[in-house]
Amino acid sequence: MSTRIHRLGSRYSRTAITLHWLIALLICANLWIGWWMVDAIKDTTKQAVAFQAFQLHKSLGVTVLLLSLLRLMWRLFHKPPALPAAMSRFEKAAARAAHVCFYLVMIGLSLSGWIYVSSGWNSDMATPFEVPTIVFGLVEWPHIARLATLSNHARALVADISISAHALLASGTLGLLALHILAALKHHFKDRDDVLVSMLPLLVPRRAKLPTINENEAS
Amino acid sequence: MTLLNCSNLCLAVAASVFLAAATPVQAAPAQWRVDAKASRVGFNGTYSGAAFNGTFKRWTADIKFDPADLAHSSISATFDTASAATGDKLQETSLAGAEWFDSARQPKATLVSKSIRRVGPDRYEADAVLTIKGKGYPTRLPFTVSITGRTAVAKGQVTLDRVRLDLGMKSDPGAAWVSRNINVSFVISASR
Repeated sequence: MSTRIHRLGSRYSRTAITLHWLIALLICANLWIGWWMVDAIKDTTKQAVAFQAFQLHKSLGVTVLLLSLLRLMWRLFHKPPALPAAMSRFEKAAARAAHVCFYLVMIGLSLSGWIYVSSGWNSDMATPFEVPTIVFGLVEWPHIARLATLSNHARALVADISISAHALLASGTLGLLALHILAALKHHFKDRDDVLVSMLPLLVPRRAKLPTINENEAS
Repeated sequence: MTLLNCSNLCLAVAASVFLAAATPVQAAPAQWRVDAKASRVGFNGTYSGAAFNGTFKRWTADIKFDPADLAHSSISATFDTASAATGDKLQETSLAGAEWFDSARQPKATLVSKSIRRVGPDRYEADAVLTIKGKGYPTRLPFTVSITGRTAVAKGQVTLDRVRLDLGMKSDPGAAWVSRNINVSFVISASR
């Protein structure tokens, strides 16, 4: 069956599917953790857990950055399944733009977060706040060199800009996710094409499944 | 007469040789060799509401101690600041960082006694200078010593104020995350 799928070329490769869902899961988790922790850190009853949540958020962020770079490399060297011929030129352009936006937020979110923590400045309190990043409590992820040694004024500027960008990208990601999910559902239920299935693990595209069903019906 | 003179002279020479040999022995208290495996220098406090317990993994001590000659007794210890371990990588990385021990530029911290006095049976107090990041802080160190044969066990505890010692003063001067008071305790087993 898998040889047929490959011949039809209507599915993403196993690598692309794995990376897509892994990154999706990590980004969703990090959006939730991120918004929760910035409020919880100000609440004395939740502060200790929030402090750990910051470390987890940074660990997941580093993972997203590395997986996204891997995904981007995959994308540069592989041709994804062609979009259905029935799509209009506008729809195809919108789909491509949305995908480019996803690469931008995947990498932009992690980078802006990394710049922020590297500045060693708490933008909320306007004070120095240097906390190392220990990925999953195991390995130190370095800060971007020399940012924390700048003058307080420069650090505050770097911190304010990077954290604003981080928050803006997070909101943007939420909007993009909504668009992405709605589009996938539209393809599946309204257009009845293989776009959603081409990125789902385990499932088989309609065109590939049909002959199997016919065989079963015939027997 | 000559014979007597000679023997007197011999006695005087023998006595002065004995005294010359004996005096420095009494003036220099025994040098103690630390048994690192049976010794421990630890510290504890709170970090983000939770207690932490750490030790210095690498340190050396030069101990000259005689309960009968405290005036000539001295203790000095050198700590490898990068060896402060709590079992939490985040805490350990922070501790080695610039605003804490700054281990990259200041690999050593030292404690050197200036005077030691007895404050009770087996109980002593040392006035010492604790040097962190090149800056010396006068510190009073209470401890007990029990000597059995050729081995001695010294125990002590002191509460240090990290604000006074300029530790973590950029990110947390108000002790919102890391307690101001850090308890340092030690058990040192040594033999002579």
